[in-house]
Amino acid sequence: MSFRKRGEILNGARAPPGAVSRSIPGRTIPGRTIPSRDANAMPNVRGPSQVTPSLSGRMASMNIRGGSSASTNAPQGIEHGAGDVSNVMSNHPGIRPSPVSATFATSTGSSDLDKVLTHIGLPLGNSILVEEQGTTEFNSILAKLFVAQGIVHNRLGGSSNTSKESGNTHAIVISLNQMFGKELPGVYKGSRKDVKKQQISDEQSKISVQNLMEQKNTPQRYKDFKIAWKYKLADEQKEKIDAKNMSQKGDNDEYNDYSHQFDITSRMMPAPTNTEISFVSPNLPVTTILSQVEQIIKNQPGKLIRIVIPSFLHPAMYPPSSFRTSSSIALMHGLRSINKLHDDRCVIFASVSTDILNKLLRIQIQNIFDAIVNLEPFPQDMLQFLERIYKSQPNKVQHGLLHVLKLPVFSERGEMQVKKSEWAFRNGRKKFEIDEWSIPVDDVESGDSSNKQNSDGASSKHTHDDGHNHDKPTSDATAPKNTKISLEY
Amino acid sequence: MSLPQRQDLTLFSDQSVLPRELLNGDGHHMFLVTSTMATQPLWLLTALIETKIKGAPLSLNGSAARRSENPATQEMKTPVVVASFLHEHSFYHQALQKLRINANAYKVVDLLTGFVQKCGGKPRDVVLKELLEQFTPDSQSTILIEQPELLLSLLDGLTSDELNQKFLQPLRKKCNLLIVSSSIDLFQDNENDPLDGSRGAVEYTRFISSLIYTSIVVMNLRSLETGRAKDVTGSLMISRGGQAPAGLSVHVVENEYLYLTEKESTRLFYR
Repeated sequence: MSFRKRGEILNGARAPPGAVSRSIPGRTIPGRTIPSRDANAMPNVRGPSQVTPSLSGRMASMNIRGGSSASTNAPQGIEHGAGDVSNVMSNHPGIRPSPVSATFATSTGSSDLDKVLTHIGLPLGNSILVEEQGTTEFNSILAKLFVAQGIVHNRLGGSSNTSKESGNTHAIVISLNQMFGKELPGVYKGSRKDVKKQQISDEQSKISVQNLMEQKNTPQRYKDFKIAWKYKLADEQKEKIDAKNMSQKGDNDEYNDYSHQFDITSRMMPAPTNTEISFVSPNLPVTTILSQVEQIIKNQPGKLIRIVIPSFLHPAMYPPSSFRTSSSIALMHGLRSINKLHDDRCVIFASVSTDILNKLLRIQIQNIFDAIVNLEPFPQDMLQFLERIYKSQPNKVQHGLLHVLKLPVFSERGEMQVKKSEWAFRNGRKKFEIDEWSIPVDDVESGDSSNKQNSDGASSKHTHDDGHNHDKPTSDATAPKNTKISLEY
Repeated sequence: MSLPQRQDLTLFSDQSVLPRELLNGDGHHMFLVTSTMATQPLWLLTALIETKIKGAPLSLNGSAARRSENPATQEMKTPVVVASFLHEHSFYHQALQKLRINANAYKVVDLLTGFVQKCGGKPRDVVLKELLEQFTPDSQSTILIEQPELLLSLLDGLTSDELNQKFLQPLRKKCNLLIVSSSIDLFQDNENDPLDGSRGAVEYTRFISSLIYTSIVVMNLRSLETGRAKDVTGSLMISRGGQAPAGLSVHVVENEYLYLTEKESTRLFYR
């Protein structure tokens, strides 16, 4: 008999290294197994290790794309060795085949941009340039999402802060801004309400005497308040539908960790370390930059390399001499060369403000990239117009147009893929959304004008009634104006 | 609605793309292919290589494909060298493999990989000389070079005249036919976005102009002015260059095609 306090946690949610997940004898509690914190410590366990489903499930979610077959079959506690390079890439959670070409692609960190690129991402060995007109900084959001996505993939691949060999992705940032890594957004965890609910459920899932006493196999909402019997039926039906959906998911489950949603108001915790991200100064000579990048790639064998050049040629970071084509084009040409040399595990993302470039330099830079999107933020009056129209739905207000100038693979084949003014973007807290662009209907204005016309019609009718009786022409004049279509045109 | 009738690509008055007397002669001719980033020229370049190796652009011309069993079309087998400042070796290798062209029939010179690292700090003359050394002289060969104008950006201080005199003209002397592919995005949309009078812009303009004057054929790929269409990718305009095909009995037939590139195949139509 134990004399523990009711609220005391019997075996914390974080088991000590080497501990195997275990359940309390005689008490089988669904979903209440204790995950091991460090799978690598498994060999320290004395006696035959008994791996619970929770451990293998965690392993699956940590490393192996799509499933458990590789993780469950692999011996526990074996780290990826140098000879396991191809295995790391083939099991990379951030790489999937392109549905439209015979290439592999990786996510840009924005699922909508992935869709715009048509490959559900950026094909390996390809480069993307995000141009932006004006003085806004939407491109820097995309650059941060691109890096953050790589860091998340790396941590899913079992990265530790100390070992260079662990993990599956490495980011190379060519920038003077060393704080770039600390400014990366964190993964979106749901609304504030959802986060609080999650914290409460996490607290309640810890094994304590009090929690065990209260534990019942009933949904949480049944304990929160008394509900009518019909809600219980609704819950049961929902469970059935969920189970059906789960079975229908099929292949989609395989790429669960391919793309993530990021909350730009939060910060990635813990911040990426130098085993996950490397910085190269753009102030060095071009050949030095290229040799440093090459060296970093060689030092990260078997990892997906994401080369990022945020705010290329920003006057605060680049010296005036960088604006010479022999410097900037040579740098881009060299990076393209490195990218194509490692085309099975390398991608490039660059962003640039077009207002600081002359036509010659802009065209030359565009020429070197495989994919180009151009962001054209709306002017102030257009934003005010959209805000007025979407007064009741502020989430629908777009921030600008997104033009596609080149698409990877297709453009170099010779297909015409220029799509101007077909997409609009909106930068929200939890997502960089890209939707099809259509000019919204100004209901407010049309409503006002129709009211005005109606009132004019009524007043004119009134005056006519006073003087002459011209009912028919008046009704003819006002009737078509009452329809929305006539007002629009 | 049915598609319009497919047309064959012909450049010369004898209904051919590369006349036999041009390939068998002792001259040093030049073709120019100009394109934009919206209408990239891979399909046309590979069709020209295919013509050189197989005798006809079988991937483009349906009637030529039907005649391909005729042994007469298999006669022209002379070396082809493909060099690119923008694409790596495997890019052209894969593209030509799709056309079932034997890899021994051509050679790819990769001028992209490691170019900046190799040439960093070297004088311009040395770089151009080293580039030329990568091409073996052969009076019957064809050399295709993609975007040599990139050298104007990559080599500090290089002028159009230097590039012509020290690289392109000697290169033309090394082969029977030099096909140059250049990007002309710089000269698009000049009404809304005019070129400035900077030295770089002037050198680019001079270089492209000189290419037009020294070519016998200019093939210009451009997108439709009305924008993107589902059934048309762009237009191919064939015009005579500034140089007359000396010593040839055939002449260039100026023409304009519409073309549609989709699913890795291209079809030509008359405009």
